[in-house]
Amino acid sequence: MSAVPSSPAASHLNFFASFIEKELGIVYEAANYYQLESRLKEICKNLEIEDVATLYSKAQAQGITGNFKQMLLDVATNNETSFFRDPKVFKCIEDYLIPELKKNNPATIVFRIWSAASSFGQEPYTLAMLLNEMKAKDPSLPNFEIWTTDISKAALERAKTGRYSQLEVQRGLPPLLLIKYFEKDADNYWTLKNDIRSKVRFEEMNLLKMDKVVGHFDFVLCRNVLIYQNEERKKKIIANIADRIKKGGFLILGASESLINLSDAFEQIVTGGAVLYRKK
Amino acid sequence: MKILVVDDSKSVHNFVKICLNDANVELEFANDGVEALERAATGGIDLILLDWEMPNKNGIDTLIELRGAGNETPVIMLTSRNDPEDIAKAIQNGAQDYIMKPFPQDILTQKLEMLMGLEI
Repeated sequence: MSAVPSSPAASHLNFFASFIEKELGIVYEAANYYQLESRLKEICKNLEIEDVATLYSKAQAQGITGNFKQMLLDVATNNETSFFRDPKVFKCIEDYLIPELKKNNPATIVFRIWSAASSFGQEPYTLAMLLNEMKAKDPSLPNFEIWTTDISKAALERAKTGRYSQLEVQRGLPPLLLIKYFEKDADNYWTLKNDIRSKVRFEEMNLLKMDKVVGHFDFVLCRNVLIYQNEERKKKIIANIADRIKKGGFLILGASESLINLSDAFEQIVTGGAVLYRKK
Repeated sequence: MKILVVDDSKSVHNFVKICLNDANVELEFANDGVEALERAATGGIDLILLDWEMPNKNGIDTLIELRGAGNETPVIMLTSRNDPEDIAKAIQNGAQDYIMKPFPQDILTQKLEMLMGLEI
């Protein structure tokens, strides 16, 4: 008689969820255990381990260290946070948005940019690397100042360190930028060099309250925030952001988000497969 | 699309096979650089996944010989070597991308999507 594959025991999932919470401050609600389960199964496949129960036994017997630890911590951030997430957007910033801003604001000496949901920092740091590369090619570009905010203090604290696992730095980041902007340490973690990290300023902030943002911005990235909000909150967040964008400045939303029925303060521009909104 | 997986470890062959199970690709396998160069010379390969440490001929020498012979097939290094100097050396010698082992499925599929426009 062959064995019937069973779901991992809740106690095993609890164990891994607590470990991730302790290390990263990320909480897996029981309702999301299915997600944790599928990610643990992926680790099993990678480590050539039969199932989650065996993975649990390994953790109990040998502790969670080395590659195993790296992979486990990584599952909590899997696909959520990637450098150059949705590459079309960054291509569009490089090819269209920045040249447009420069053309329309010839007297500007600093572009002010706001990454409105920093998470673990991949988005603001991607902007910092991209703009640094652009400025190296065209020194006549203005300098840039990047603000980033997030509602999660734990996420921001982690983002500020600029330190990422070997798996995290491989998500979206071309190897040439990795070796140019990061330093590897003995634990196989990679830390963004200080000169680029210092270009980004962090604030803990709720987009519904807007109590920490100062001044006006040339462009704002607010990706994958609206999808988690109801209609009323979406409108409030967009109105708050619109108040902080200069006339002719830009807003970029997540790939599955739009301003339809939310705001008429912007005109939509589609270029290079990406969607931008220009403040009227 | 045909991908040549060059690695002396059968478990890497198997893992790549599992990762790309749902992708519309055909896989071929080589166990070292000598086999890889022989296979590449006969043509028809669209991408090479290349380990570094292998018997007979290692990955970096294989890459250098491949490019020296005028073969421009895209190469992604797939190796546990993770020093910045190694990454720089591979890119300078004509590798298009670099994956550090161990890696989960999504990193391989993402790199293939970026490099080859594959939808996986």
